[in-house]
Amino acid sequence: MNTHDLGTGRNLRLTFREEQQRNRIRIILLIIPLAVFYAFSFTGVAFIAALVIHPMGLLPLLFSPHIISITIGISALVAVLHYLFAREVVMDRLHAGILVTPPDPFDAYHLRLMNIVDELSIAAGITPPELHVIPTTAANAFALEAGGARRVYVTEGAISLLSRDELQGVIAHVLAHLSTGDSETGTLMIALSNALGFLSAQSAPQRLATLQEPRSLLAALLLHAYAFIAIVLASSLSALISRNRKFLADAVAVEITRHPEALADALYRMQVLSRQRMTVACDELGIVCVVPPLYRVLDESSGLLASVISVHPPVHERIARLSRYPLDVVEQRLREAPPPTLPPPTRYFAHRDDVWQGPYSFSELATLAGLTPDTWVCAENARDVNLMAAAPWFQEWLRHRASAETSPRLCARCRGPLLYDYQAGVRLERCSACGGTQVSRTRLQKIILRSPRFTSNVRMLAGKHRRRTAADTAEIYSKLAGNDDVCPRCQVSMVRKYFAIGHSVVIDECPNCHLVYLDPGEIDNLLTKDM
Amino acid sequence: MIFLGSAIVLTAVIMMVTYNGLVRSRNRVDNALSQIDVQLRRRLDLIPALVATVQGYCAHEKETLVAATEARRAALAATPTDVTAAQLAVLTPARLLAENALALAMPRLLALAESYPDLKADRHFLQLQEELVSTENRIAFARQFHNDTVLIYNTSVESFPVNFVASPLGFLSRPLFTAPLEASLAPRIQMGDTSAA
Repeated sequence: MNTHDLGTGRNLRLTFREEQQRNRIRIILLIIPLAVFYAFSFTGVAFIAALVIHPMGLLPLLFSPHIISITIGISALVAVLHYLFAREVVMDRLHAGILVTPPDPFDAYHLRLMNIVDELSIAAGITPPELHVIPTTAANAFALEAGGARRVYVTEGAISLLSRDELQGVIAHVLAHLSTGDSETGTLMIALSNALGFLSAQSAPQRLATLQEPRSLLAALLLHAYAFIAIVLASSLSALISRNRKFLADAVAVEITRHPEALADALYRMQVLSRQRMTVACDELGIVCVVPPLYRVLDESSGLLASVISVHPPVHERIARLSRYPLDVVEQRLREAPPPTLPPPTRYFAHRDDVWQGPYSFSELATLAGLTPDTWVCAENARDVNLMAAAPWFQEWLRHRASAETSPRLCARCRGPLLYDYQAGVRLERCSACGGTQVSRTRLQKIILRSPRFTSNVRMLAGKHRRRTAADTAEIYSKLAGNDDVCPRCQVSMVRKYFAIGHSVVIDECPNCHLVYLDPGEIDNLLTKDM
Repeated sequence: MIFLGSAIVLTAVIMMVTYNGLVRSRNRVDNALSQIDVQLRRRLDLIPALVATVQGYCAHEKETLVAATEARRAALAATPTDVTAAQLAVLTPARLLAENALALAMPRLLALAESYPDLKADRHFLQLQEELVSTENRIAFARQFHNDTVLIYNTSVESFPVNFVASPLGFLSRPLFTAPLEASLAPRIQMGDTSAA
């Protein structure tokens, strides 16, 4: 068994100790933007304060090197404190904000979920996380991690609506977030936006309506605007990280389960069937959820704006990526699957040359000459007789018939498969369905040129034929009126016209590439005409 | 002199880091191996309960029940009792063979439910069935995880220039567990065909 490098590009299975080491680096990377954020916050608040108290005297002082370095120091301290606070408190606070129940050991579905979590922990090489169930009909799941505690939350909807394989894919996605450290980052992001939300709520205009003095009102409004901008910036920062991380987590999930289709199915069902409000806390938990808990147009669109603002990549794009996974995964599963058992071959009778002939096996039927879609056929031991075109295996018959030597193009008339055929040393395409011929004009001229000159006897017969076709002129003109055929090469409507001046043979020709379509028998008709 | 000294120190540091990396990698492989062992034992523990439940509904399906019990006995006999045995000795070829036979007997036991609706509706049976499915998954995942870690370990052991010092230091490349079902499945199907014909 070879391992599949599914484009994650690195080994994501780490021991607990290695994970801890990596986490330390990430924590520092998280604290730095936090410190920068606080530095700007303090400067902003001080700026507003200076503006309110004494603009001329205090503003220049604010940007002196001393004050700036003090601000940076305090910001770093506060950032570390914030991180420690988040580590200790956020998890419990968030946990308390969600209505959860422990998994019920007497519930078969919950047992299944617990088994899945244990199985996948083995596959991912991590210690099994704590498991919680959210009693809601929405289908979603997420993981929180802070201060070494890891908790996985799955909604009752996901547990009940998804099949075992689908649930496995979803849990693998969640565990992937845990093992790559996204859950911890996400949890702290939630903590950060919580703090900003608090700031924004405290300085909300309606709350400050009691303030009478214009200066303090102005200060509050500025504070509110600042908090709003900070929220937008913080959420767009997390969105930039999170969109890619979702794709990565999908990839890791596939690496764990080796079953991309199940996850794709699960995403589809979670998106379509039951995306609804999960809990009161759902808005802030959106970052860590497997699918966005609420439908937003932004989440489902790509482009710069969406990728800046939205936390979640479009679900359809994730499904598309999942279904593009390397073939060896699929091939391996095919190899492991038992070979399909074939039903005993049915034999068929075909109504040919006014008699029932047969019985033929299916492959004989496919290669038999003179069969068209409007041939009557009957399966052996069957009671009903059908047109070939109405038989359930008609498409398969077309494919078989075309499998000998097939053109990559399709018939201009009926979109059937085209077989290569040779006439006068020139290759042309004959439709296996309607029997028409398709050839470029230059090649058609070569065929005409190379065909033997006719004896007077043949000309006489051809003349009879021509008279008969003349009787069908009305039909020809009615044909000329409506023409929907499209050139299979250039997708341009084909033009119905006479092959040459004075010819009664009607052809369809592409005005662009001069591909010619001829109805069945018309090519022979053409060759018997006078040039 | 200083240059020479620093070169020696640098070499020593590099060697130490490499050695520690190899040890870490090998320990992970051993851990993954023992995980397979744990899951195989879990399956052995599960089977008596399953057989007992099935027996209650279809006691006359003796052949299947006996086959499952015998396969379990054979697997149990091949399982080392000493848990602290040397890691590679935990999964001997004989044990793997017995476990494969067991893995083949299990689907037949579960398939009985198709012909016995009462059994299919039995809550206890459903629970055992889920447990068995889960255990099979665990074994497969443990094997997968083991192979992934072995691949990383083998790559580091066989890469230049580590390959010169690895085997003298006792870092030998480890075998991968291939999916064994197909190999043992093929002759069985042939046997069934000839007896039917």
